[in-house]
Amino acid sequence: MGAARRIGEQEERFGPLALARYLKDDGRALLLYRHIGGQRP
Amino acid sequence: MSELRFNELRGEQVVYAIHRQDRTFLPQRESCPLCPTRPGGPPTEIPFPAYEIAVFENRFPAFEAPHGAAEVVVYTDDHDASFGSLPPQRAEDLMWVWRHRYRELGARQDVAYVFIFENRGVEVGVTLHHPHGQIYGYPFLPPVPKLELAADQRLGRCAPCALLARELADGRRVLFENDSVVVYIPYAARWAYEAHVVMRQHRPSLSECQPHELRHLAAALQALVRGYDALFQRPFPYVMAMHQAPTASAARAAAARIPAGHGHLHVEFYPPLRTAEKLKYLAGSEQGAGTFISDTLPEESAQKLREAIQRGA
Repeated sequence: MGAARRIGEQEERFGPLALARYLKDDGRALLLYRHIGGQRP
Repeated sequence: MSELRFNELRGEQVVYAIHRQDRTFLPQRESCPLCPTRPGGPPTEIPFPAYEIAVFENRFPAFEAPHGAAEVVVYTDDHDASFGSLPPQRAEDLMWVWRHRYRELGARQDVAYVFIFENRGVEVGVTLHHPHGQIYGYPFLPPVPKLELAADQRLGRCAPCALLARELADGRRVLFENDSVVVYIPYAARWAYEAHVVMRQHRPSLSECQPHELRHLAAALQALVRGYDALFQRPFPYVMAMHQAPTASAARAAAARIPAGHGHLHVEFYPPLRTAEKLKYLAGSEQGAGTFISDTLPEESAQKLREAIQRGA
């Protein structure tokens, strides 16, 4: 498991969500979504 | 890396993912790999002290690039929550996450079918209790979506559209409705409390849904699973399976004879309980002959589950 480093400097926007992409130490992708409101498909 | 072997007698692929034999199995809650990584605590899959919704590539994948995908979708950082107990806004956000994953995985050349699902309860083989689901990106069109394609051809139109019209006209098995979604136990349900959550409009996938339809879908799914929990006053095990349009490339779709517009977003639930304590097992007739023998009538189950949904609201 372990740490993860951020990919890209800015969060992406998807509908009401913001998305941050990370790469874990073992090379697997990790995505974190958080609610920011609004609905842009 | 998994190996695919074609089973000639069944006419289907079998996936050998032998590395999954050693996957994490029902850990103590202090060692849950889906919890946030708390200061001073053990490392987990999500190295942050808090999160809302997390998606990561499965550490023990059944499929992986360039031959498909396997992802874990964690609904919340609250270990003791469930899909049904999520705040409505979080459940709606989850629909958007699923939509995002459907689009992103579906755009890959090595993914022919994006399958979003949740296994809930040890009765259906859950190995982690933290609320989560999974997504498989199959590198081929699996048998069940193929059967739905055949149903469209047999009925001469979209099968879920036709069946939804039949269920609404009959009404006895309808469990829940809102402006965008209908929930019912199908006429020929295989499981005692099998339920289908179906979009009223023909939407091939989450991708074509309007924002309000995603909100209504989340509400319908939560109403159903809360009703399940209210039915026998216990956490109700189920397999949740979301069926959407295949995402195969145009060439693959043509080879598989998938017509444009095929697919109708719906979510099927297969709960193994037939009473509060008794499980339905897939035994001789189900496994050896492929014919389900049911101990209950869908109309009677629907009445009980409809009342439970009202209690669970």
